Amino acid sequence: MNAFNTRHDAANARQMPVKGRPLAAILIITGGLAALALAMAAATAIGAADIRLSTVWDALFRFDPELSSHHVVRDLRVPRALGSALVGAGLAVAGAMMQGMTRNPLADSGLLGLNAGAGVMLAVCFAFFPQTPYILLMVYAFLGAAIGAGLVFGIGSMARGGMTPVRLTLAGAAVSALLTAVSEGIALMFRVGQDLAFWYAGGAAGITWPQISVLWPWIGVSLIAALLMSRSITLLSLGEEVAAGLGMRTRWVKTAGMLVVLILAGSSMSAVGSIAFIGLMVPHVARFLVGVDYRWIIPCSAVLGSLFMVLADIGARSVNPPYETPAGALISLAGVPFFLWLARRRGR
Amino acid sequence: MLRSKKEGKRTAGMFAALLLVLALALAACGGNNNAGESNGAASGSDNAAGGTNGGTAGNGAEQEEAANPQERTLTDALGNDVTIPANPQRIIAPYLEDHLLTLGVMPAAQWSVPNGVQDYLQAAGLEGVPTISYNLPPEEVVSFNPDLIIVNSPSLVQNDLYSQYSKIAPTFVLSDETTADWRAALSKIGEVLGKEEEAKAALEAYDQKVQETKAKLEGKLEGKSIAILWLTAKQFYMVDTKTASGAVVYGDLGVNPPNIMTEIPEENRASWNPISLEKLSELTADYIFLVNYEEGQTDSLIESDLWKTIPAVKAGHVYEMDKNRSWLYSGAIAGQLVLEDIERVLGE
Repeated sequence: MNAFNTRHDAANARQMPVKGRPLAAILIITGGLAALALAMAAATAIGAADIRLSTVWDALFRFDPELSSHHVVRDLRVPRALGSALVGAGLAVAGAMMQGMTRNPLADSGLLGLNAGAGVMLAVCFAFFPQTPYILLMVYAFLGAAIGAGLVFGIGSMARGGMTPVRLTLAGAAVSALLTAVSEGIALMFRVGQDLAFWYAGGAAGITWPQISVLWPWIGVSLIAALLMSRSITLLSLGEEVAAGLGMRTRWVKTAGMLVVLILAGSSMSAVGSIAFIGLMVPHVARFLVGVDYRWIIPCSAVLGSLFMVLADIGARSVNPPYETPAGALISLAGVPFFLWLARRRGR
Repeated sequence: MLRSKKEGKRTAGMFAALLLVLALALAACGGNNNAGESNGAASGSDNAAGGTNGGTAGNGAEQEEAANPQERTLTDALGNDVTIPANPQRIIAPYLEDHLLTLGVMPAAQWSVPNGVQDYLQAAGLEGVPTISYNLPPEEVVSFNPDLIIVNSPSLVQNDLYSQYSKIAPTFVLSDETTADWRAALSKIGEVLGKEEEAKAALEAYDQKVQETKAKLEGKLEGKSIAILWLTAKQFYMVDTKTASGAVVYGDLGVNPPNIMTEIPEENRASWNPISLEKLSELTADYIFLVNYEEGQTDSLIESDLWKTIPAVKAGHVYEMDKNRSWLYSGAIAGQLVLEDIERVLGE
């Protein structure tokens, strides 16, 4: 089905000139940003603690450090909403770029060995350095993601004939399987499975200001880089020969692109754990709405990804209050049926 | 024509995949129930192994049992007829050591996980007793040459493990309901070991201790509420009214549970209720007993500004209970230690 779709996409691309739908895209971006603003406001107002809107307003603009409700808004809800938005954008754009560059419609950052790499690093931290501060855990998770991606690229490009999408996918699957086995082994030996499982479930509940301050420059810069590269991604998505024929230095673009993906996905994941499906689904939705031009797909993915993640996080705390439901699970629950529907529609 | 054929094939494929998943799920569920069928065929013939390297095991038990040296057959929670040896010397009863010690019996091996044992029982007599893994690998069980195995949950003898254990020694399985109520578990184990009198005496002694503590704290707990929190891996858990120290504080002493607990409908409560810092901000309890597994963690949640605005925290009424104490455990010994802690803290 995978190969079938790829061929189908390529056929599509050949049949019609690469044409986006700028009008739709602009509508989505402006409307999406407005919706995002509303959603973030809602995220600040909704939560386990019962806090009135007027109190929320006071907390933001007339902060009283003595009141716990003000701390709830400022120290928990605002960073959580901001973090969700950042991470949603990061994951969605990373997925869009992966799909464009590898021409694999099922590509997302998990395929690069990022999740598995981060998982191993976290397992090691939980098992051997249980006192590691959380902010450092984030750094280690990122390092692990980088190692995982490094392994995948190393193996993928070692083969004769260089790196191809298929090789990369296979290397990603193999390396992920290996790394996952290692982290599960560590989890079993040292009984840190539960800590790991929590991380794998994913969620924005624990995001704090220090994490945001580390996150936003990386994600911000990478998002801008992704936008600047979007034209090259569109060309790559037509096939490497086409891109090279048009005078593009494909190797350079692919390396830079993968670096952007690594930073976006790695830093997002280190903050919220492995959240599947945003990276896979959102770019598809964007492509469905605005056409195949990545100059529009990438910004739309960013906006839709943010919006989706913020909404999922609101869901995470409202489904079964006062308990938190893992946002990752909610996203998959909502995402899978939609995605199947979309896949069938596109297949027609 | 061709297309519709393909379409039909794909639909059929999807359907088949769904069926397969269903079948697998069913198979997985069905597989677990067989443990009970294999009967406890092993009889007292293993007894010979007992005396030789008995060492620390059950010196006290020997004299007690001498009066009543008969093999007995009891039915366990899985319906197995288990022949209990007349005078078991080398008992393995993981995570039930509290009850064994209460009855004056020293186990041949004690429960352990890779990063620890039941700390509070070491001083109570388990110091120096060899450890056995929490999941009872049969090889380890054999190496201790037990003459009686008591298991605290049917889930531990799944997948035909029961027949493996029962070939090593008679194996008695407690139901999860029995284990959840330490009084029932103590009585049951008393019955299995022929120490009903001791069990009864221990329960009476415990109730006596409860009355004493109540008397000492006379007037100090009226109208007050206490929250018992366990902090581990960036997450607070509220100890339920029926579990471990919760059963002692809320059940035996009759102290009011905190507002954020009573707000949760009883059927939604777990033994350890995960509670977000946001919800915790609404806590109005007068005292907080905190079991802190994040000690020394610089970015621990109890360092946050929000934690410091909780009324009980502001008032300095947070009592950190050492990890080596028994607040997360159940049993006569565990309960008495909890009572001692409360008396020490609130008694002045």
